[in-house]
Amino acid sequence: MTRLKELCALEGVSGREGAVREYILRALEASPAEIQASTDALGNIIAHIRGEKRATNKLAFVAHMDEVGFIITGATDEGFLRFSAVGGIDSSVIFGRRVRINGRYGVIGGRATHQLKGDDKKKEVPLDKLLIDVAAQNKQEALKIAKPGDVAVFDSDFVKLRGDRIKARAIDDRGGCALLLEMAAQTPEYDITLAFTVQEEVGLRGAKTAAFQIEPDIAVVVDSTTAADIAGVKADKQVCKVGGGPVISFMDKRTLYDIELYDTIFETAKKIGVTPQAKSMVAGGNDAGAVQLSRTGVRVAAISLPCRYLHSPSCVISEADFNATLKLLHALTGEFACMGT
Amino acid sequence: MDMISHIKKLSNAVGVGGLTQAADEVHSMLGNYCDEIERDALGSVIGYRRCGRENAPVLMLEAHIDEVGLIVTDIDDMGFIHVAPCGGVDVRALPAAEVVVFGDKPYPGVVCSMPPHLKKKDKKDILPDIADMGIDVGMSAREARLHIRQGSRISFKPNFVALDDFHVCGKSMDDRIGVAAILYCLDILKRQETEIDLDIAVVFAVQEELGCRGAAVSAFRVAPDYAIAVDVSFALTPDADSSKCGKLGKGPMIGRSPTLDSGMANELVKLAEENDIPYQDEVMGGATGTDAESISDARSGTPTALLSIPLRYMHTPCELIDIRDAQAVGRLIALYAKEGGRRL
Repeated sequence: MTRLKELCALEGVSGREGAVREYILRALEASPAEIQASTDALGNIIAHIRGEKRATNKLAFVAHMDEVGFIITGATDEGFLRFSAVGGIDSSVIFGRRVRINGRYGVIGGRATHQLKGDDKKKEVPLDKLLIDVAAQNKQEALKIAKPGDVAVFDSDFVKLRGDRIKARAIDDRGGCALLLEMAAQTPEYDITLAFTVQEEVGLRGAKTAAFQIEPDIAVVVDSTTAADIAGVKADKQVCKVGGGPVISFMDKRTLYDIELYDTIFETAKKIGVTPQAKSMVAGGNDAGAVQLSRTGVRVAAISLPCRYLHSPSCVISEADFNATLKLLHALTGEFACMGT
Repeated sequence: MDMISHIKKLSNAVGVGGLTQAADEVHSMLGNYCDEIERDALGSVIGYRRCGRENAPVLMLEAHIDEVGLIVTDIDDMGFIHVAPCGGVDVRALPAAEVVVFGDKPYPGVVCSMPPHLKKKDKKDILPDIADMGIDVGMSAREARLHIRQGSRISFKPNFVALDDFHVCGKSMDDRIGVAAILYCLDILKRQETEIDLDIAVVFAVQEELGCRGAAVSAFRVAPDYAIAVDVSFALTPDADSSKCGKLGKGPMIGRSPTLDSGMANELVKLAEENDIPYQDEVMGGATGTDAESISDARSGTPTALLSIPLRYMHTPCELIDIRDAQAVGRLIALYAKEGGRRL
């Protein structure tokens, strides 16, 4: 899990993926496999890896480097920073949190609970009413600390909870990046292409240009997805479970997935003794939505890590799910490389 | 004394109702300044700095060492920990908050946050009751029930940081910063080797957040002639009413209220003005909601003053203060003990 820990420590809000990109390029360079890696105009990494055998399908695996965060829009006269969310951050997880901004700390809060009455005490503060406190005395001082366009992330470290659970920021989708880097760590059975994309959280934008360049026949998106197997949620609303194995999508808000690929994933998992789970709710979306519609169309599948408290400072996943997903991805390389020929 | 490193240790120690880490920490810090240190039946730490004069008047300095947190009420069949508040924790800061569950040992956990698509459509912006928010410690029900029990305490994760040279943030600055201010005062008196004509009793009290209970019994025990309570109060944020807040970095807030002694407040104002110590007035129409009340009506009554340190984001994991305000409180109390003490 060292790789995941290092990746989660990096800050990479959409459009500012530089640190993550540098890390991944270095990791690819260090691999003994034969890899041709390049970056495109938006900042995507496209890495062609020569396998032991030639694939008849051009097979791509896609994970996004960016994460949700905040972007500074200005400062108040009192010296507090105004901000907007980058990507979908629910307002319930922002109040009372600390953020990192330009190497410093900031605090997001508001007036004390003691000064609120009745239901206001448990009312979420809407995002547009929140400010970042950097302890500046006035507007000028605040703008010296961060200027409009600078970005911030939650301040949250990588912690092992009990058992095999991991808590960290940005597991969405450094988890996918870590899985792809594991795949690149040795020569795969067949040729594959890895795409580490930018700007997923702001509309699957990096995947669009990456897919255009790669022109894959089959693409597997490796991401993380909401696990709602938490207190107070009935079984039919849980989407998927942490510890329940890799999550396979048949449909979400952006994509209707290739049915043959979907079935093959379950069959392959069975063969190698991995237990997958279907994403049991049509919700969310990922880079598959952009890849599927690239050029003349691409067959897509999505395999995700079940993740509790997604897009919060405290994402929780299971190490066993991570390892099972990696095993499945390795096996699928063989299945998909020559499928249909 | 290195103010920031003391505050870091104080903030990161856990003192949710009944846990003794914070008491142990302040006990050991008091060792530098007090001849006698004792703990009372509820767990408050009391230290004495004697002046050597017989029947000298006793000035009690008080800050509370407990903090807001949670207490385990139940463990459900999925292994989630269910809780009640232990003090008035800010509910808005709970979803996705990191906590530590003090079972048979400390276990890190996360407060469940509801994914946006599962929020109730008609009350999307109303958070669930604390009783309905589970805590995720990554355990099965069986394992959780083995290691955690009903009554186990939960604190916010210790998370002290400095924003710059003067502004620091962490859990339980309410009221560890009051503790730090009193220690700073004792440090001044020690360094100046000041002769003062009164005994100082330092009370670091438990159970303030549960209704100012600890200070009541400690004050009974100490039976002081005068008392100064040091707590925190609201520092202005842009969304708050400026008439109900002090300002961060503008000095101690000197309390004025029917429950407080106005002569002592006048004396503190005078000393602040004579010595160029910044201060702010904090006027309250009735009870202050601090230990000052339970000290002032202990036994046959004690004249009591209240000094508050302005703090932002009270009862969240990120309470923010300016250490200069706490240092000013320490200086002001040291002057009071020296100058004012002579007039007592």
